[in-house]
Amino acid sequence: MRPFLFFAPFFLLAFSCMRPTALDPKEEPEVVVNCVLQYPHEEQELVLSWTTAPGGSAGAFITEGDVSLYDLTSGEEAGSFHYAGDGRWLLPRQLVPGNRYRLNVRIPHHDAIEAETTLPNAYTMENILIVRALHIYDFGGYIALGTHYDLQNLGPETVWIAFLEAPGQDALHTTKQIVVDTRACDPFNTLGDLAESVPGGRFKYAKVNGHPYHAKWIRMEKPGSFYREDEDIGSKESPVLNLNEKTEIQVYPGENYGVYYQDEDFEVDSIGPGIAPQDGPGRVVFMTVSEEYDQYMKEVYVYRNRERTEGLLFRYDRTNVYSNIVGGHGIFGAAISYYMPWFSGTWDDLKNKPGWEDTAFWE
Amino acid sequence: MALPQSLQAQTAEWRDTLRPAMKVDNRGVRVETGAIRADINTVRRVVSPLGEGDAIKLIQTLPGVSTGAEGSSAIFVRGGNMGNNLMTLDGVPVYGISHLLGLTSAIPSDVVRDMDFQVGGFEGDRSNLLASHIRLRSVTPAVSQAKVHAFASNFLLGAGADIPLGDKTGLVMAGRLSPLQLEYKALKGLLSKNINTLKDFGAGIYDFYGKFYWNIAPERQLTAWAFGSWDHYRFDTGDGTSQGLGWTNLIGAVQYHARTGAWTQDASLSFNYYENGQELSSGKDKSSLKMKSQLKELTLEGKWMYPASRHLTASFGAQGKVAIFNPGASSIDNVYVNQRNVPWTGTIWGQMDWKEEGRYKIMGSLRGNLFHSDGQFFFRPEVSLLAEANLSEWLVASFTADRLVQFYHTLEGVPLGWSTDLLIPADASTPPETAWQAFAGLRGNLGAHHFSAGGYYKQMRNLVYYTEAAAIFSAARLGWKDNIDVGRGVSFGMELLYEFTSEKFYAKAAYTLSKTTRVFPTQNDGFPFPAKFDRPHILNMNAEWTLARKEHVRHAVNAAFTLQSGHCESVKSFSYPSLMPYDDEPEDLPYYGNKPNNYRMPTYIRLDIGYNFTWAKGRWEHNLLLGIYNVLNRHNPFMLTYDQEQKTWMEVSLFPILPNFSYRLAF
Repeated sequence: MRPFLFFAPFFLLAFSCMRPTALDPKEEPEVVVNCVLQYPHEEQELVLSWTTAPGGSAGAFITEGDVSLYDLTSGEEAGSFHYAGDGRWLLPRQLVPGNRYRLNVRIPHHDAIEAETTLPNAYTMENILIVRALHIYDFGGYIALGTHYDLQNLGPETVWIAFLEAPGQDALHTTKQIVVDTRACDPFNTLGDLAESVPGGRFKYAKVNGHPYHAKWIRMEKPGSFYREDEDIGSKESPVLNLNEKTEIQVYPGENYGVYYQDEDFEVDSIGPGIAPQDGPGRVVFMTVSEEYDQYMKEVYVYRNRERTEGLLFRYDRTNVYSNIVGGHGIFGAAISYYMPWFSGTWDDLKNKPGWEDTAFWE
Repeated sequence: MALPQSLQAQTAEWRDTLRPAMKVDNRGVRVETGAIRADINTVRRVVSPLGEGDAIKLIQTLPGVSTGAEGSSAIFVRGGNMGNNLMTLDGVPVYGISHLLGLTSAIPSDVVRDMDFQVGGFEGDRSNLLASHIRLRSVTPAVSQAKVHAFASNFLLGAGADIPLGDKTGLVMAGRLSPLQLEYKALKGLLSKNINTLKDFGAGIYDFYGKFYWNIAPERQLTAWAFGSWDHYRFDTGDGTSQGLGWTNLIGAVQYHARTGAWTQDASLSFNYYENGQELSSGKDKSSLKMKSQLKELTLEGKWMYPASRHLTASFGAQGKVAIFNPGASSIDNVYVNQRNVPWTGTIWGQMDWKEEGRYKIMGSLRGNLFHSDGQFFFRPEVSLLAEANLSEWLVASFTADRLVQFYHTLEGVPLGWSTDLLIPADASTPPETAWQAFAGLRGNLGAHHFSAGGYYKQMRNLVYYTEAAAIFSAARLGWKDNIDVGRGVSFGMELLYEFTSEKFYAKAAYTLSKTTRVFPTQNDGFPFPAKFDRPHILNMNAEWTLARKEHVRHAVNAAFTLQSGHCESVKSFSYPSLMPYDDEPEDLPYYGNKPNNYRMPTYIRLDIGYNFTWAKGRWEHNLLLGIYNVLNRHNPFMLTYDQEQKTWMEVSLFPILPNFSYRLAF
């Protein structure tokens, strides 16, 4: 796939040439701390390692040291991580949403390392309005098939939305591309393709045509905060979507946003006409993250998009990806995720379905 | 401020405290306190990839100026950003300054009479800049005899006419276009593999200029002029999509100048439209994503000048300006989501000039600016001081000090001088940029030898740093508000200029020793780091030797040599794994050292040579410029990239040896 970047640099490169050169930055390896606190997990995980020199093999795991977590809100020690092998350090403890935590890392013969983050407040999934598709072949028409989610009690955190393949398996994969028909989402991870039409025969998602695909995640801030002139979104970008057989996600009360996904690994046909979405293997994840992890994730995607571009100019501006690790590198963040199924029916229908808790859950 | 050329000429006279011999036989630049001036012939003789020079190419050879990518129109003056420079044509700002992807200036040389490059001691009528003012003055239409001219260079064709319309009125017209599209098709096979894989390429590059002049009375003139330039490029990759890029200037102005008794009055009304945009289209569904940035600006101003005595002149004026910004507007299926802001600026200013010919000159200006943007008022005064004293018959001491304010920010992309940068107004989160600067120096004239030397110190605040400069060419541009850092900068240095002129030989050498740093809270833990184009040493030398000069024929050869410290790059020190949710594999994130711009590129060296042949026969005047850009064919690295497969760094250089020509005809 060609990235969604413009051609101008080609001209600069019309006469250009490249040749190898030798550089030696000569810097000592430093400590990498990677940890995202999660709720309602009862065990927190952290990875410690050394940085990797250019052209060298991956930095070794750090297995010795003292790693502790302190609850700044309650003023109490939350506990100490212990090394569990494969670079993983574990802390068997469920944390408190809304509280701020400090991580202290002490490595022998190394300066102190610390970082802080806040676990987002927990939100609730108040409503799911699920509409079954009804394809009226005789009349050549159809009614919408979709799932509306209504998240309540959201804090100030940004919401990240993705589609997950096969939850419950060991490895979860986000769909590779996702397109949304509102501009009230952050375009930072826009990809190279524009949505042209939706798979599934003659059923078109007219509203997403021409919109750029995003890489894996939709990042949405509070409506109105991203674009100041919301009136321009107005009637042309109706918040009440005129979409057909697709998944709709209501993120904020009174504001609906439509999201459509596409991924070659995903059974898109499973949400074809007349087929209930729960028949497919996917889940929708809503993730709120700490301010630190939000900035980190965003910058990692920006870096990825740069790296995948073809034009050399996009390697021109180099800035470090955000890190809140004082004395080291990596990220100390926090996240709360809510998984929901596609379901054909009402919220009450879902709750009356045996075993529904297994398909809609916190993680 | 729009300033009628007749008054500008007078302004130049106020500054002329040096002996006439300081002007170097129409071949060199003219050094004054805070400014360097050059006529259009000097400007044209600069060797450039385009055959003939332009104002920017000349400025790139002057002291205090660092350059961006080679061959481009990017300049960084005394540590400022590229967007801290202001180019005006007869006082009206030109926001899209480049043509042909930065290879040349948007303003045709046919309509330029001369230029000032001012870096300190600014007059009261100029604001909204932090580094330099490139003041271009247009030619005055003839009212006696018609004149037609045409020219061709390797990338541009142009023609114009100077048409008298009567005893008191005249018209100047000029236009240019580029045959780049035809040249691309003809030379496609010779181009780099990076570009010759395109299925199709289209380019529309035009400009026009028209000026009407009415000499109402000996002391009253009215001029009305319009200028437009278009740069549009489109290419088809052959996979069903096409992409486009372009920028547009449209400027119109009506200017009035009168002298009543001792009073001189000027009034000007101007409109400025500037747009740049990009488009990605899919042929399958006929859908397209467009992004554009616009600025519309209407300016009304007046200026009065009164010579209170033989030594003292007072000037004052007022200016009102309203602008409509729409940066990063996006469209899907031709419905734009706009990001409009409508700031306005009100300004009053006063200026006093004291001078005694051959002894001293002092200029002081004070400016009060009230800027309103996004519901917030900013009152930002500016002050400038210029002083010079003749220490002896041949030596002048000079001093300037300025407090400057810039209300428009430029979110800069890659440093090519392309007019694709985002212009945004200052607001609460990105306050107006300010600078304090001072310069002190000497300049002198010893027969054929002319020199100037001085030192400057400059502090800048509220500088903007567009952290995703590459996003200028991607959809991420739409989210520009997320990618702005606001910080500070310091620059200091020494500037030297030497000129030698004789009947047959002219030489110029300019040297700058400087240091420029930046401080941004999000970078390098808030500690200073080198600016990307901090080049400690910059040496530019030019020479021209007249081989023969007869009544109607002149042959000359010239050479230009530049040697500069390399600019700064950020080089990866090491990498570390990412931690992202649900990813298959962690990704190696690069770490570019403890501070940005941690690696200095190799020294930049380039030699250009040219041949200038002028001849006349009857009314026909011909001028031929032949040149070779980068005659050493030295591959000066412009940037570094890390090849993951080969595990090695790669240097990327831009221009190899590049022959060029320009032919001009007038009658």
